[in-house]
Amino acid sequence: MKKILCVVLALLLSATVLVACGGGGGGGDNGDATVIRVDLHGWTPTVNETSTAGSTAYNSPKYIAAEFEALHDNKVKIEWVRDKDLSLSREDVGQYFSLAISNGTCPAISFTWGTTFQERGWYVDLTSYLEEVNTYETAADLAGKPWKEAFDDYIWSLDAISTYDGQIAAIPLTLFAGSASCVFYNVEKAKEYGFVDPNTPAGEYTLGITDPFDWTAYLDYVSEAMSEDQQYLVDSNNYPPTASSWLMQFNLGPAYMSYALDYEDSAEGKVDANGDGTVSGQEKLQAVVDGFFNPVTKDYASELLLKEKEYLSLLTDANKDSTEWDNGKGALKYDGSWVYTPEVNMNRAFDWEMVPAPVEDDSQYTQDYVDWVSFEESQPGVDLYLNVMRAGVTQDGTVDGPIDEDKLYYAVEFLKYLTTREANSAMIEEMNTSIGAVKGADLPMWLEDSAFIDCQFAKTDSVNGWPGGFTTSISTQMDTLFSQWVAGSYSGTDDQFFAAWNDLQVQGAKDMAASLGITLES
Amino acid sequence: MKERRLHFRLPKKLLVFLIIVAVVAVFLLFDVIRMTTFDLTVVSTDPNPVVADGKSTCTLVVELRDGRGEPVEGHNIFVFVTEGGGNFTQQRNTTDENGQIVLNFRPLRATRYQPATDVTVKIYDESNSIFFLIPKTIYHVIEVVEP
Repeated sequence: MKKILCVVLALLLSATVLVACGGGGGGGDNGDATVIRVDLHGWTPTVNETSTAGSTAYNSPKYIAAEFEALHDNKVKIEWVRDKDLSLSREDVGQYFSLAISNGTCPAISFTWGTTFQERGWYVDLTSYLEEVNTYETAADLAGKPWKEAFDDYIWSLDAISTYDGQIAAIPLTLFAGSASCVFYNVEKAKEYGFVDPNTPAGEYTLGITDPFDWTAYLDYVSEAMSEDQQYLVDSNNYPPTASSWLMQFNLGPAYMSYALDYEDSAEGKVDANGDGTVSGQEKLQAVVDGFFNPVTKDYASELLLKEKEYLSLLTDANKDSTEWDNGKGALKYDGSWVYTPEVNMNRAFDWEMVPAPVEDDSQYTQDYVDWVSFEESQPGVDLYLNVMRAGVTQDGTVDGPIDEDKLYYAVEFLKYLTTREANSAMIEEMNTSIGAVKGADLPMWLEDSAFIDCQFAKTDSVNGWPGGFTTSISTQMDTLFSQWVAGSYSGTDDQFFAAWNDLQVQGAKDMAASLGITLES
Repeated sequence: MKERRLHFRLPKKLLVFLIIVAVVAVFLLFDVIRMTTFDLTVVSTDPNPVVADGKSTCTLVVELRDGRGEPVEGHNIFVFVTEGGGNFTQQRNTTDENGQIVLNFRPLRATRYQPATDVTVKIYDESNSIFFLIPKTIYHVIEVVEP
């Protein structure tokens, strides 16, 4: 009896070991298939295939992945990442990936806000792949051309796409619908404040259409709203204030950035040091060290910070509360353009409209750098951009380990497949929020149906916002410093704040350069 | 011989609990019965079928009437897709004086991943309940065809 028991136990043990061994190497339950873990952030397909009243199913990526797997004879298996909390801050996402890397579970394809963690060496350089033909593309005007040509050129100069040492670290999938931020306004209040002619029939409002709704107009509107009630303005995206606030990214930053990049002084030179007509990442880092963004010495830099403070210091916790907007008393809500659909579906009892991001175009520094253009001519920022993570495509799951050629191949191929016009359009149509990054992709239904698409959109020379702290560590310190200054709890003068801000920013630029092996002149 | 009388007394807490359950059940029953008095119908779908070319839309007119057959104004009607794919311009609408709402729907473009399939939508009245949300609900199938 004991012998039989021993034999049974030995067999069980052997089976367990065999199963455990078979589970390694990315095969798992998928036999010999190479498993590619993919994190599409808010665009990850839902587990449920059908919608309920409380949750909307999102299926397109699932179907696209199934087609991709079939094309490769099921030698690749796409596995969706579902354990990453969408509400995590950038710092927390950094911790998520640090943990995933140490556990050997880093996704091969991930959303990390583009180049956020470039100093950590986490990204695969995708530059050379973009020169390859995307063989999956069947659209006549894109087929047979380099993958890169499926996207508008300006995208490649975005700081969120290209690293400071000139590598393309992220592939864009979706763009903001004309502008990332926008202003929802209550029509009755707009009439009361004189921004809309009271005799205008419903649905024919021209605010933001015949004339741009710029930063000055926005501040005037805010002033009227807040003279009635603090809660008549809803802005939960700029409060509490941070060094990389939405204003810095979308409303004020790009216009001032355009001026700074064009600034030239006979003694100091210019940001585009080699004069080739484009500002490289290295030149940008050097410009920070050389003082082109220093608010102590550059009036345009200090003006930007003071304008930010002027607005941000108006905000309190009360402005995060949307009760007054919801009940029709509020005058305006500053939010993302992707909020349009949920706002429509609230079936508000009051008339409201939406205008694109108000941009600063009145300052002596910005007036020559902002053009108001049509939706088609706008150059919106990237909403969803995906990296290939080194630790997700190495043989041992570490950042520096030897590359698993199959994983890298399938990761890049899947990105190519996702960015065919047909796949891109399918994702855009179903999500119905942002627009496709691939040229000619279908527009979301809401955009075609709304007057928003007829508005004037700000186009700035620089598509990038004002630089922040470069590394996550310095950015965090700058956030603290900046929020103290805005709140009035900073103990020094404005000049002392400017100096402290610049010291941190210069340190951040130097740290970033050092991590990327870039030599800066001091 | 002295007659023995049976005394059956419910514990006080149990009694209170049963009363609460009874009241809740009555309210629930009220809303269920009330819900059945409403008539929610899709009176037209135009065009039907609709082409899944990523551009074409169809218009649905949904009508709500009460137990006497009168149109009901001011009720919030919510609609969403349960099977198939597509988008409504607005998912929540309020019935007009004719008890009607008008919905614009665009099916997803037929692709190699998602061929054209009929779309089932769930339509319900969010306003017919008094105590509990027991909405009058209907399902409607929109025919969708390949371009």
